[in-house]
Amino acid sequence: MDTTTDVAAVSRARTGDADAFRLLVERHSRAIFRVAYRMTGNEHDADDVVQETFLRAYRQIEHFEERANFSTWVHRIAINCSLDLLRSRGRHDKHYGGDTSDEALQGEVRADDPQPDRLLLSAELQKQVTAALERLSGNERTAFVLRHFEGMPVEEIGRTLGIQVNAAKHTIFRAVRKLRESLEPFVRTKPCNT
Amino acid sequence: MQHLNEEQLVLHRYHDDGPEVAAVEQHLNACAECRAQYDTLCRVLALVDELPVDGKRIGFAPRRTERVGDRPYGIDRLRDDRVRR
Repeated sequence: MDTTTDVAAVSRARTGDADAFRLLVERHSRAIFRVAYRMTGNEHDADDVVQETFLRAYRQIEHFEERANFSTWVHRIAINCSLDLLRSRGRHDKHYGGDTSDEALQGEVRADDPQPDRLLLSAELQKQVTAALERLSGNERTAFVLRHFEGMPVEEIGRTLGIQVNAAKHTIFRAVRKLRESLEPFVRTKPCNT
Repeated sequence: MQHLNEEQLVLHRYHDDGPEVAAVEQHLNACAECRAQYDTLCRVLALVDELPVDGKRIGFAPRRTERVGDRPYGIDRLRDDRVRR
């Protein structure tokens, strides 16, 4: 395992050390793929976003402030790449389609399932969750992903999407409401410790 | 206190309820109806969390290692790009 810190790797990469940059790619590409996948909704687009993200990072690394956090910086690039991709395909504010049939799912996680909360999602249930996410508009999906998975503050989500804080907050509310409406039939009420 | 609305529940779930947090918490402990709503919300969001994304579940890791490590697709492409600029 390479113990080189990100700071040291970035410093070397700024001088044109390709191995140092490769180390950064290897270290951060999985996390970047995750956010890209969640934002774009498919593996192929996420792959493209990962490549574009590191390409942009490489081009701009001379402007990266070494005191900053490389992970945060490259995540920000990935978010922008994902938004660019969604916008370029005209998907940013369109609602996605998606099979809304729940019939096949009803038997997958039943109310009498012994531990549905610990169950890895069945293939059919995965489809339903995926479809629920696809029913969100581009802005709703982005705002939700950034708040829920990335833990980004609402203010920053607003800046990222170019909207007011209050609008960002309501975008998240709408996203969560849609998800609840789509997925509520598949969960049963148990105490929540969060 | 009136029942909590959905927005308050979402804010609470993401720890965004600010100074109201204590009152919300207190209400959730006292009101079975709101507690049930909140638990449902949490479980729906937990369902979303379960959607596989990481390499282990979708076979991402081996492919990623291969692609990122590959000279033609990885750093050499980047290096060529920098040279062209």
